[in-house]
Amino acid sequence: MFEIFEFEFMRLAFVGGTIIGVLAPTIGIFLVLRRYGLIGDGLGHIAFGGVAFGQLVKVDPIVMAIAYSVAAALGIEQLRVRGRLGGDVAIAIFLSSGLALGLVLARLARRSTDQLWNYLFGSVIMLQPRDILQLALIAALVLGVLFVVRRELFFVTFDEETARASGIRVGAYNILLVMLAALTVVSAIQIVGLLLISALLVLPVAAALQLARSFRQALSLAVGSSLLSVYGGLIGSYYLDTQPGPTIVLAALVLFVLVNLGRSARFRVA
Amino acid sequence: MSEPVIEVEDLWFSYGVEPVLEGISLRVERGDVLGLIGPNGSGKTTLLKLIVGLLPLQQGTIRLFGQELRRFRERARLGYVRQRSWDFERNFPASVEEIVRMGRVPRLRWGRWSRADTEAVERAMRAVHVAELRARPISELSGGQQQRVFLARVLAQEPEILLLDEPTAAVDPKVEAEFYELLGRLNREQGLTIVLVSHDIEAIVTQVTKIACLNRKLLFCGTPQECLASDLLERVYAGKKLVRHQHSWG
Repeated sequence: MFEIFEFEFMRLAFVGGTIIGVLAPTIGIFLVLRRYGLIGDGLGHIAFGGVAFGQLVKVDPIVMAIAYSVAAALGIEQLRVRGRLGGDVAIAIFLSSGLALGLVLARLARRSTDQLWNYLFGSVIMLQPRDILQLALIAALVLGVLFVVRRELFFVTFDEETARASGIRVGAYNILLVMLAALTVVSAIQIVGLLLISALLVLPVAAALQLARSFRQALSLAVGSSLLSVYGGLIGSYYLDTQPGPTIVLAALVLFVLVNLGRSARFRVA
Repeated sequence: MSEPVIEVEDLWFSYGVEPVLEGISLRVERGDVLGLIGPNGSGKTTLLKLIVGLLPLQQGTIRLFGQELRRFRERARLGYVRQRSWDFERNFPASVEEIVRMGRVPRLRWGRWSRADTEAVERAMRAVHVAELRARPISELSGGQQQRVFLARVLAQEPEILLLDEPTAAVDPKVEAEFYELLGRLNREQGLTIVLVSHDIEAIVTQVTKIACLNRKLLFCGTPQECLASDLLERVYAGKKLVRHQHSWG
């Protein structure tokens, strides 16, 4: 069982997975409750455009991905606030154009499809200590900001109108939230990949919402189920020789289904 | 003359071309319980939203505590309970206590939670008898209980004026009567100024000290007795008999 930890990349994957496992549902719970569940998907696709552009102009792809997705997050929020487009349409526009841009740019940069595949679906084998450091820094920033504004964000998430009436700057918190989401998505690039991070933002939260009786409980349950999925997925991928990113997502899905089955069984008994 | 806390002067507002408020002037003094009545679409909610700053001022002036609305920054002094406050995301995971604690957010200094904040939350929950429900998820409560939780949230904010938009539209008459009883007590004991929007005059007529009747224009403003004595209600509601509405909660 423990031979899995003999490999340096597996140890790094567990450390990185733990960080992502905590970070993703913590921001995800606010996104899901605000019905922003798909924004992770949109931002992931856009970040891919950033990665490809970074390769083309020889700038660190992660830095470029952050720049792209943060800018897009602001764009999506602006489109939504102005009310000309629904949030879902705004995300859809950025999502497909981000991916298209990424593929065109990658072709121009003459990158092999293998490398692209790694960004899209994660590649723990390529993990370096430097990547973990980068991930830890982003996570510390996002979690730190979330901790400071948690009460305001909770209020805005539950009841935007009342929060606004009591003088809370709702628009600023909305922008902050999408920017933090953008950072989170990019930070997950090597563990689960840009296309699958959305699942880790949403699935553990969806499972937790089935059981939680308070927000505090929902957050703990979401982080717990996210970590279980990450560990289960990493171990599973090692023994099944599958890719970690998709395996983690499937583990999260299994957990979500189990929670739902358990819940409906309990209701039948009660 | 007592201190005016809300002064509205020649207020006009429109969402498109047609104005929904036409030259409204209104004065609320400290300790007043003002019932704002009028048929659906008469601009009651719009007026309230303008006062709490949810809609931009187009024409006219609003002063709060003697200060121009544009310059007014102490929003926590106004407690607003919106229409359909029970209409929230059904599976939102929030306990009663977590909801009531939201009320303190506008009062926090540098985001720090102090003992005074905890005490304000406790007082608010006790005042409306929801302290024993503190650990319950909001979604599991009845309509009347939810109503009290949202009132506790706004009381935790320790506002000087309460603005309530149709606060009892989803509860049965018994709960409604209890709710108004509670508001009366808060007004007498804590000197809270209350502005209450309702389309149901019978329910509020005995609870308020002043009635303002709105139908785009301000048609009447005075004591409830004067209001009932006039034929105004008949005209405003176009002969519709004023009956207590039986709302079902489901």
